[in-house]
Amino acid sequence: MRGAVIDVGSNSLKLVIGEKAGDEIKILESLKNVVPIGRNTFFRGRIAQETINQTISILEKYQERLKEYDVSSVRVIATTAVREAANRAIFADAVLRKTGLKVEVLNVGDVVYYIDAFLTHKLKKKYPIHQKNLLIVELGAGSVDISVLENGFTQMSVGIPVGTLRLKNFMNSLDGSLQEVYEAVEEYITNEILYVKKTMPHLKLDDIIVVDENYCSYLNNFLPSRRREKEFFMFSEKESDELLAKLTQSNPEEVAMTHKVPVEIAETMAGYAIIVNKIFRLTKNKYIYLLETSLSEAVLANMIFKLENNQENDKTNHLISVAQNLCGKYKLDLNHSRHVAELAKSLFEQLQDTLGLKNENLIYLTLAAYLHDIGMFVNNRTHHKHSEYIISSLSLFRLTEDEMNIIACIARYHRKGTPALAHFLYNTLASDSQILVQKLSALLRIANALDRSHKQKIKKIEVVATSKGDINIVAQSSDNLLLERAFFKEKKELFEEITGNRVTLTVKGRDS
Amino acid sequence: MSPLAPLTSKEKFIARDLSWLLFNERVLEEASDNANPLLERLKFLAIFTSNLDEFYMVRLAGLKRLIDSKYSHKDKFGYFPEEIFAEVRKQADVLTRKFYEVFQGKMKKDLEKNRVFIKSYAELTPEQEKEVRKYFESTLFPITTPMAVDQGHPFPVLPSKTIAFAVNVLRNDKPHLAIIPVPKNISRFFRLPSDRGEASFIMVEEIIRAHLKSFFRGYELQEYTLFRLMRDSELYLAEEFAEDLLVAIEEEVKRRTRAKVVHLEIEKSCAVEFLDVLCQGLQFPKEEVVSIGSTLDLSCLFELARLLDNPALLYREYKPAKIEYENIFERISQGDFISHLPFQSFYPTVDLIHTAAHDPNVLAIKMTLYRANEDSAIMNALIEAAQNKKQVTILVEIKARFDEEKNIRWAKELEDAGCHVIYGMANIKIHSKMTLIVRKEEDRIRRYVHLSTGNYNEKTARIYTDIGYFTANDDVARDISDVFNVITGYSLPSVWKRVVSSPNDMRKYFFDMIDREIENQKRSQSGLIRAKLNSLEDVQMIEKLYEASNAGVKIKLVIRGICCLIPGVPGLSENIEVKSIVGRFLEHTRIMIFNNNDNPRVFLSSADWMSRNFDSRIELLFEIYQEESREHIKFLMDMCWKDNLKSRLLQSDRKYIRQKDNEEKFNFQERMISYYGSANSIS
Repeated sequence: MRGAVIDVGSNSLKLVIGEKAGDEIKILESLKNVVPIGRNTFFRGRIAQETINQTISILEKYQERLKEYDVSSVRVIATTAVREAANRAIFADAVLRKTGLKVEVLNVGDVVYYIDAFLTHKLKKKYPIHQKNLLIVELGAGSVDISVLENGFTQMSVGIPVGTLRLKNFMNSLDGSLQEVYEAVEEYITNEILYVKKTMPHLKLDDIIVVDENYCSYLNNFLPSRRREKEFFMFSEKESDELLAKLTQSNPEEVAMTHKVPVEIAETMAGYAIIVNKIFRLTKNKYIYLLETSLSEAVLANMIFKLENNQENDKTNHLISVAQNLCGKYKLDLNHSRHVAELAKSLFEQLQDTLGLKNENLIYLTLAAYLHDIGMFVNNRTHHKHSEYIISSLSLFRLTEDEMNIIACIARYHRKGTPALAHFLYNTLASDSQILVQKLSALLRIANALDRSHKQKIKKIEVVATSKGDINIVAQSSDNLLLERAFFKEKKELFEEITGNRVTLTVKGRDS
Repeated sequence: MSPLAPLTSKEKFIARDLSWLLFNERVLEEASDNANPLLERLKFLAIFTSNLDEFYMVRLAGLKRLIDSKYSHKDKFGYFPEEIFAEVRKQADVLTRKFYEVFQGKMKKDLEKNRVFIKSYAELTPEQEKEVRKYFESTLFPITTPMAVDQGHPFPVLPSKTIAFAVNVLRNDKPHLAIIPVPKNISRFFRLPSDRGEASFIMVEEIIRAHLKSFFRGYELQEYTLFRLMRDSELYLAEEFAEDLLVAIEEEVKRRTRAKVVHLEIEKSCAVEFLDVLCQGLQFPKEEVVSIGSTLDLSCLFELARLLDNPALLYREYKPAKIEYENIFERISQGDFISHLPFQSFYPTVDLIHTAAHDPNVLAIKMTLYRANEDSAIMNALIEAAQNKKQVTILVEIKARFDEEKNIRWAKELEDAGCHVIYGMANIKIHSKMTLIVRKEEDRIRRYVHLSTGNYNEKTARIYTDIGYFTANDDVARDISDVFNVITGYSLPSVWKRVVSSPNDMRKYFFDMIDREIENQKRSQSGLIRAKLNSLEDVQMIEKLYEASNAGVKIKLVIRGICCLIPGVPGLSENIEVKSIVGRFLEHTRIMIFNNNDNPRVFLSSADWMSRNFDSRIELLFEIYQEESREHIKFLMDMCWKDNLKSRLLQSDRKYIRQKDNEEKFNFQERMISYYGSANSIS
């Protein structure tokens, strides 16, 4: 099987064509062309028409290469530079129209997903990635993407906008001596990196893995004692200090001359060294791991080996793990959240056919259930509205912006007013998504009502269709459900409105 | 060791153009060497002439340009433009004189011994004269066009290499000048009716000369002379601004007809006043005119050799040895191999392309073409490949000198067939010879590569010695694939594992190799470098070799053509030996062997050690790892070094001398023919 990945990066377009060779991937071709998408986006906010045209003409050339190797499966991925461009939709549309290639804009969660899957595959024996608490850093030109994994599950993913290209420009904008500039940048980076520690104060890490495709291969030029190693290797704090010292002693031109590295590498490598150096602040270890690979290779491996992480519904688990982490961060009642999510799931599964829902819709409901009260963090009053905008501003593991908006709406309608076109976010959704929000929020309202006391009184629910066409929810509980009953009566209305069925609640267990 | 004063460039190097003239002198020697068959000697005379023509149009033209632009700096060999121009002119004239001595003397005598005659008009028998008159009236007269030169008609634009009569005629006591070009598209030799066993010819211009009056009825024929001119052949391209390189070159080639005249030959008998008129018309300095007391432009001797076509007077025929295999892809899969042209057949190369064109599993073919021959089987196979829906990418270097028009024609034909044709790069010539074939085998990709020291040209494959290298090694394939991507502008270069290229880092790579030999010499006295090249001209490289020689590294060079290095000079190059082989085949292989502490590393390359190869061409250097091929190339170098029949040694006094006769005679090229086991003399 042969596949290809085109990476629309901040600095360049890259094409890798590879095929399966036993347990490995054999790279047949790798092409690289410089395109200043990052410079456009980071400094002008949008991708210039000229750059779009340039990208398209390179993609057309790449398509010829694909024919030469008879490659049928191709993915085009884009990261920060496209993600942050105001005209990203126009960009993607122009590419699609001219080349037929669909650009997938990856977010931080996607990036870590692919890297994680790839690492798991690649390091199989060498490093048991799913038994560790890890911080994975992907160093790009536009951003530094950081993810925290606990035993293989994502806790959080965050993109910090301090990629090497951005840093270079930031440095150029600073008016100071070389030493002052480097000091300023160090302060800046330290602050950004320590954000991770601030958000997760109890973070206990086994290791840090830094994924970098551009600079690893030049380390030997600066650290002569270091031998060229495999693509996965330990890098000590001492070495990092030495590298930083060498890179910040002189200006890039001198660095390029003295250490025989290309000027464009020398120009951005100081930023790289600073970031790597500050990453040591996150661990007590005296070393980190460096991995020389690219996102495109990871995605390619994913395509070729159909890499799924070890669990079937890995994406769901990752997302639940992230959601739980958020519950902690926003001081939500985790037991309540989890319980509502379980009840909602149970309702979903039993009513899926009746409501015409698809399997993949469940995750929206689950996440909305976990996060429906997140707005309480801001204010109890109208907290459902706070929940809506908080959720819609989050970027969760492998979910698109549209998906986040759906989740935000579902969460918002867990109380008070039902979906209405007068509501801004809801109004922006596509009509099929609006229906979906209606259905799922109807389920969430019931599930939430059933744990109104936040005491997880109901052990199990069963949905029974009566002969009259009504729906009876049979709840197993030995507790007093008066409060739940009261809220059920109020919250079931949306459901009845949508389905046209009457819904009743029967409690089993206490009396029988 | 070190001399009191540092040597000047002139002392350290032989100027390139002077060294080239020495090479052409060796070609001339072959023409007068009785050991060579008569018609082959005739061909050597023709080669000498066309070599010299090219030298005028390229090198001399370049010097003239420098002088005209008032450039007055020394070149890297220590000469000012005027200085080297004068020296080159002098030596070229000496050589030309020697050439005509051979042609008029020994050659004519030997031809006559074999009953071949080139007659003057006066020597014709009545019967022959009748035939000639008939030929003039029926054929020559209609296609010959006299052109008047007067106020209404400026001096006509004559293309480079034109031979023409300048004629002064009188009418009503008023002089008129006319130019009559000798028609180009007919044979220079007219075969005369003659006795059996005899071959007699008359030159076409002699026929015209005898009938000049026929062109000027009513005029009185005064003086006349035959002349020949050559023009500057350089293309003037603002490549970086040319939107379409193909169109730019096409236009520039057309413009060449009007380029500056750089060489003018006239007959000795030409009157001085008449010469003034001619020089004025052609805007050529009178003092540089070369007067010839014999036939002009003898590159036509090729034609004579062909007309005579007598196997007894040619080299013994041989069949290139076949390389046995059933399927070329299977053969390459079994292991790398080399083919040594022209002793071994060029067939595997052609077969590779041909098989690829028809193999349903082949997805893509990529190839560089520098100088291709007319009606080439390779070209046809590429066209078929495109028709069979393969992805065919061809890099045509249309700037290959004097082949530009031919290449444009081919390139268009390939393009029409659906090949993806790329017309070279601005400001750099693609001189590397490489082919890459992408084949699907059980849904895996396997790539086949052919690299060579010589061009993909079936004709020269019979006359040039070259080595082709076939491999399916994936590291090589990946590199070559990348080289193509870089050249076609599809990608930035990455790090290559198995090939080294110019203009990036080839010179440096060699320097590193030489440094290692210097180290090895210091440590274990094992420093040894052997190289076989067409030319050694890069002064940085020469200085490096001097450095190695001074460190005690032994250097043995076989350099057929230009060699600007002076061997055997105490304190400079006493450990360097240089020899040149000029023989039946044009030595064209580029081989480098570094002793590497008695663990020799063997390289092949498309590049000579000339500055242009290192700095302004895309060239490849590749190492041969496969044991058998490596051993074989080492063996070839040993054999080459043993040659004493066709070799000349370059002395520290800058002269080439024949090897001494006290050893057993050894002819490398003939030995190779028999070595490859196919000296099937056809009798």
